[in-house]
Amino acid sequence: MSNLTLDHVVKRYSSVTVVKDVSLAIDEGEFVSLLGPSGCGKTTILRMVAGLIDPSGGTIRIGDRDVTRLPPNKRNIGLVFQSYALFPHLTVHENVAFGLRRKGQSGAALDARVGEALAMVRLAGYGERYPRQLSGGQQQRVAMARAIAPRPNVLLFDEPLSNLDAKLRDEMQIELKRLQRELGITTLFVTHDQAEALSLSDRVCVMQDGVIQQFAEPETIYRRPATAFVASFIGKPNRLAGTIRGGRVALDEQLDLRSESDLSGDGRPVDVFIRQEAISLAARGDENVNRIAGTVALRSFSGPQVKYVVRIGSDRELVVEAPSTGPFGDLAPGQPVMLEVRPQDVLVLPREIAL
Amino acid sequence: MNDQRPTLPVTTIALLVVVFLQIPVIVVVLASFSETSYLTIPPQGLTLKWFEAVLTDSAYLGAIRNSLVLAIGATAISLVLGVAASYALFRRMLPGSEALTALLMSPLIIPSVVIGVALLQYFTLVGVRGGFVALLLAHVVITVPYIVRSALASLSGIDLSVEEAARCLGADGFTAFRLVTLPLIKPGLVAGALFSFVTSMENVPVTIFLAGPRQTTLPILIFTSVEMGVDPSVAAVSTLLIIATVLVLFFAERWTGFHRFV
Amino acid sequence: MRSWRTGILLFSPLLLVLASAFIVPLILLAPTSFREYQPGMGIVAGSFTLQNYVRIVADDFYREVVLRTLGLGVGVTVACLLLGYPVAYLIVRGRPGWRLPLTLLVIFPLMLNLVVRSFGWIVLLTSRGVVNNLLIDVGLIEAPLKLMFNVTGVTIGLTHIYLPFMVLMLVAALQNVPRDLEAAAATLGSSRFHVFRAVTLPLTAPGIIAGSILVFVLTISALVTPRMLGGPTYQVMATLVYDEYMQLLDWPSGSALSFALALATLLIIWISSRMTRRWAGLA
Repeated sequence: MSNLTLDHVVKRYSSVTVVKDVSLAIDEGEFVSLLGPSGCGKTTILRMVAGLIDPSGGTIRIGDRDVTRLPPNKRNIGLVFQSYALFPHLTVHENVAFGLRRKGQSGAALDARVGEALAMVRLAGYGERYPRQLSGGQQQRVAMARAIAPRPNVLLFDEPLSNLDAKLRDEMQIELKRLQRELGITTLFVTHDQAEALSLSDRVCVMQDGVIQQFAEPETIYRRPATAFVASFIGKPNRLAGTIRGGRVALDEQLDLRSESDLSGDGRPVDVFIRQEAISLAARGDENVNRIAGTVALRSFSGPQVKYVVRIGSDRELVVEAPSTGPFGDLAPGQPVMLEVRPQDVLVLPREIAL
Repeated sequence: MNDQRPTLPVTTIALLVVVFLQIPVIVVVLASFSETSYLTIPPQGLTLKWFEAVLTDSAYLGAIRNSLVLAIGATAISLVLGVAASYALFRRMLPGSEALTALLMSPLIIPSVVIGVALLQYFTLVGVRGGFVALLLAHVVITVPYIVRSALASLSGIDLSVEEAARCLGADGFTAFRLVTLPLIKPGLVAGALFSFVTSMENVPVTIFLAGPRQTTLPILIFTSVEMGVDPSVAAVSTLLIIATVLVLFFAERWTGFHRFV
Repeated sequence: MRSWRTGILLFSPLLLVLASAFIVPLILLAPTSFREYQPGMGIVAGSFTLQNYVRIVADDFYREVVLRTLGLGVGVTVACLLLGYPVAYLIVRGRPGWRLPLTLLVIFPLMLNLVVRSFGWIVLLTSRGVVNNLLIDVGLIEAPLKLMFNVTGVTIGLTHIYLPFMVLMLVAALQNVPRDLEAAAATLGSSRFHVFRAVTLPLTAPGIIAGSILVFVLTISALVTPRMLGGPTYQVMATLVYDEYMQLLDWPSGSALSFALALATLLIIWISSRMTRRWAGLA
């Protein structure tokens, strides 16, 4: 097992720089997700670590080996593709054995290791089937068995669950996490699904436009986003423009809020993020809590949840999410409400022009 | 949808045309069994003597041998060179892939007779005219476009991430190609190889300018024999060719199911 | 990227073969075509003349050969279109069970030797051949018809050879016409024939053009069939080139004629591809 280090990695295509100076230090055995919208450079980084793309600058180290110029077959990595990329003309057994054979293994030892890998993904006994005879989820598991069988130093995942339906995806996420814990291999996981990243990872690296926005534990990403992009990408936030005024953030003349974010610099323009699920309709009787008066403008029912668009102040709106079976599931448009938000849920960040 | 089904007149014409397409073949086969040296319908008397004559005639046997050696050799060389070049083109390993592809396919556009005389002149200049190697090279030139076309088509039909997967699992570039890509493009390549083989076997316009007296190929022998009159032994050898073609097609289809790639 | 080196390694063997056995020889045709040839003495070294090219249009015999070749091209193309369209239509719009057998029957002749097929036509068309014997036996004619060594035999032969190509291209074009369009036209009041004329035909125009260009170009370049069915006196451009090179040894004239043929082919293909691009935009 080894750690993985990226040092000032850059990738330039003729007119466009897709990855702009990315440095990342991933610990041995750690599960790190690369999270971001399409085009942010996450897949490019993954493929550079795999050796399928040459970086334009910077170095990549696995353990203490500089692998930047090494071809993929010399890096001892495992890569699980979005399309599974199983060899259609080979049996499941031969697919999983492929990497082992390249290392010179054969015979009983090879068969034993293949059996081990298949057992780990709960596909023991499927060795003689062909990929086309398997379901999507099973193919995905064979792809994983194939990647881990040769005992790679680093495991790479390229949006492996995107092609699965929601229910299967949830099941596979749990399997994946369990497997990674068992094997303890350093893992880099690319996804655009933030819930997936937050639930699977030890640390999450949020990217935008070829640059790392924040690299931290999931809870930190969620509660203390470092930039406006991270704040708006994670969860379902309301975003309002505001100004710092006397140790609080002012949304307009009448309305200001307490917050645990950095409130220095009177008059500084800021973006205020309040997550829909963090706004409470219930009175908590807490001293410090922010109270905002408003009127229900719209109600939208979607099964377990209800969303309200609540008008506050003169012309601002907040979207509030509440359980539809709770006490506030049935508010009608026009009804006055009192919203409560804890200071730690009011995220204040320097204003960014047009996200 | 019954509305646009072909009407009876259209169907009749179409079927007549399809029969028209088969007539020469049927006639040749019948003529090869005909007792008389001119063909009548129905044939007067059936005999196998023309087949016997052909199969014992050293000129015919030599021509058959030359044709086969040439066709197999040219196809083999075209396969190796053509697949390599197609792979490089397809993976965009070189700039100007489109222009290069057009270049590889260009022997199809230039009239064969022009290629024939150009090579005649050139090889005479170089001093190798009439030699086997020159003829082989000429046949590679006219067959390789079929290989390139089928290789490019096959490569575009497979998911190339399987090759990347192989490389991540420890295979170098060539091993990944050999163990993964090649098996997957094989059916398409077989179709291309068949086109290539047939093209070489039946070629006259290029071969006739280059073949020395000892490299006469079968089509050229038939071609020149006919100038001297219609002899059923020509029909017999033609029938043998027809049978051989049918057999080759049949077995190729059985082994690889390549009809999807034609 | 490091793949450039591999790319060159993979591509150059073929490039070398093509350069040495195709490109350079073709280019070398040009200088020869400008040389003067004296019968009995050979090529006059160092000479330069445009005579070989001028002769193609100025000399009666050459002009006749060129015009005959082009005329054959048109004739065979039209024949293939008229005969091939019904077949393609039957394959695409006919009973589904017939599709594979019909396609195989169309493709099968292609797989057979060109010389063999032409030979088959000789057996059919010669004065003591099948057709004449049949017509005489039935009493329709008294003396054999001259079906060979003239435009009739050559046209029939060439049409037969190139018909499968036309059919295959038309099949591809017809497959691209959505049946819904024809149904829509029918519900709007079009008769069957009108649907064909106003919907199907225009939409298959690119395929018609592509097939026609292919057959035309193949026909004007043909050597084997015109020689076998036309004999040594009925010349087209390709057979004339053959005679000039092999019998007359007049390589300069042959080169000029070859160049003319090659250029005509390239020009036609280029023009047609420009036309199809514009047409495809309108269709």
